[in-house]
Amino acid sequence: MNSNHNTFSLVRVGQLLRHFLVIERSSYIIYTLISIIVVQIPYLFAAYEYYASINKHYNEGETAIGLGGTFITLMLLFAAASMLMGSTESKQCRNNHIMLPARISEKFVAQLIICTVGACIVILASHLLGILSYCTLLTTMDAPSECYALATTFFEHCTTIIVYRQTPEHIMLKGILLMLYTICLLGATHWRKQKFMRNISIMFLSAPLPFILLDNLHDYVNNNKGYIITAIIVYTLSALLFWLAWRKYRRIQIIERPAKLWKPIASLLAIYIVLFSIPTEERGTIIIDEPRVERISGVDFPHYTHIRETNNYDGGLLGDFSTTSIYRFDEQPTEEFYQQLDSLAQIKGPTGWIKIQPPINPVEPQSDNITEYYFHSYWGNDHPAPEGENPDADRHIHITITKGVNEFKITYGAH
Amino acid sequence: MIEIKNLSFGYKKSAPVYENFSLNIGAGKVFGLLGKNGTGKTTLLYLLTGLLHPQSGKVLFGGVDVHERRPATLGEMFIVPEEFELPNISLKEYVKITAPFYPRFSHEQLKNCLEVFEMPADIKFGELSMGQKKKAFICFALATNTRLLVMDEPGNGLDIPSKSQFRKAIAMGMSDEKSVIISTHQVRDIDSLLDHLIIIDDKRVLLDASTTEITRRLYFGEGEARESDEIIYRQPSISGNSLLCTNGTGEESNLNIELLFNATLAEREKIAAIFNPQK
Repeated sequence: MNSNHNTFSLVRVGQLLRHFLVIERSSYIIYTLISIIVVQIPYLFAAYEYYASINKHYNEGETAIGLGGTFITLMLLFAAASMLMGSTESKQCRNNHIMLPARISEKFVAQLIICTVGACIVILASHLLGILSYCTLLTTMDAPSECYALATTFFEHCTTIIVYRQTPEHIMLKGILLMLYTICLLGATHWRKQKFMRNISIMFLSAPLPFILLDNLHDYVNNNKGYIITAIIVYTLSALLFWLAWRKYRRIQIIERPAKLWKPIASLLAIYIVLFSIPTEERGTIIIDEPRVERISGVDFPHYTHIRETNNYDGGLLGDFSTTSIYRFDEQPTEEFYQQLDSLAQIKGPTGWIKIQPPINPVEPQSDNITEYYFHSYWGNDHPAPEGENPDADRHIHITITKGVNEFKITYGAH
Repeated sequence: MIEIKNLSFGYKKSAPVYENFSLNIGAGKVFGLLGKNGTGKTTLLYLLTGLLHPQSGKVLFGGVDVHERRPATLGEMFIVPEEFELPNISLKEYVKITAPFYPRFSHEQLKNCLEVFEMPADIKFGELSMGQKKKAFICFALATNTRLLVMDEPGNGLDIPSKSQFRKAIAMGMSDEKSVIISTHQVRDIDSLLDHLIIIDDKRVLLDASTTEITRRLYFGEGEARESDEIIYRQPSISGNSLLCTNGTGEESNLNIELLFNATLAEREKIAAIFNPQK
């Protein structure tokens, strides 16, 4: 076969795949072994948790396999992306790489296949081995059949996240992961040594940026729009980073000035400074007035006044916040008011009101009997909003009233 | 075969290695590239093969810019650098995964070359010494049958018998459509191979001439009496003085590359006047 033509050739990509896999096989074998070992950890931990638990039910195993497996998988994918350039640390290796008669795009595609598809195959096989290890260990412990289902928690997580969860928030989160992955690809083309560790440090600094941007956006747009705008930015950034990685790969030379870690770090810090200097709206004390409480709760409230704020929490990254205030009725509420609350609490349906009345003490029937009324409502994220409230905003409200007490508490915030 | 046109390159902007450098390299010859340490011989080889990108100017191989790194161009050139790395696999495996990229690769030639170097075919790179790896790599390079073979200090690491084997292997592999460029300080190892000499210094070509042309225009003498106006350069030697003289009478003499090299650096204008009378 004449391999001398200049057009892009899948046959040559196949030859390059074979070439790189053989030349670099020691690195890929090490990667495979590490993948197998570290992926076993959550499964072995879950089996140990079952063994150690008193009731012989799984407890922390789901967290270990689901979250632990996801975290380890992501780290392995990032490590694989850091191997995009193969072994080009030395001048001699770069000479071999550049002089190999193939299009640069073919070499790039071949190495991309190895560090994405190849890595996914290795990680998948490692997880299957992990499931096998988990089930084997459970079999020795005579575990009930429902415990075995836990083994597939990681795959259920992946399927749910990738296939089913397509809300703006999840699309944004997937975009952030893609952005981090393309950072690794770009880093692989720039760093000569310690690629994974340097990429980790850049990712560590870059990961909070989209959330800070989102938090800033929440002062100007609602949650969903904030997610969509942030998603657009991170996906665009991912495409840009990928193009930069390709551009750098294409221009590789046998002698290059080593890239300095401080430059991207300085750039990221500059971005942080810019983002933090964007004026954000101070939330201040939020007072829920009577008409609003009545619309939300469905109860005619006596006149009340705001006394003080007892708690003001601003979660920051995703725009969460929560504020709690104490209010005082201008006059002691009447019995009709409490009867309203009683009737709403008795209705079986989503009124939001519940009544907590401790049982009468038979020894001291005259002792104080504190009756409390709680109201809870939340809207947004496809939950309908009460009349007059913005359906796009994720909010919750919680009202606590103690019968006979003049003061009551309202907690309001975003989740 | 190779045209270097107005090439400018430097590792730092303040210290260019080449400025508007031009050179033509034809086919069917073994070129010796000579120069002092640090003049940029290896850099020139890297620029010729597209391993480095010039800041300006072009290097054309068969009319195609080597900077584009097309497969067809890369398939017609091979470089044996001074320091190289081979994977820890067998030669057989290496040939299997690398030879398909060279359309003119010849297994027969590889076998013949290994026989010249007295090396077995079933070798594993990881088990070889540096010199043995170099011989194996040179065999592979010759077996690719590329139109351009570039070698940077190929004699380094080769023992004395291997150097004569190397000369034999190069001679065996030559043809009218191939060119070999050898950059070396150890000219005595390859002086019988060279057809053309290029001496560079201070970002320019001081001498670019065939060995035939050199021995036609210059006379290399040892301890002889010569008219002083014929002597271009002299240097002490075991037998008195080695002389480099103009050769108005067409006398035959053996090319002394070391003497020529020293003379070219010391008497640039005189050498330039002899070989580039129009400049």
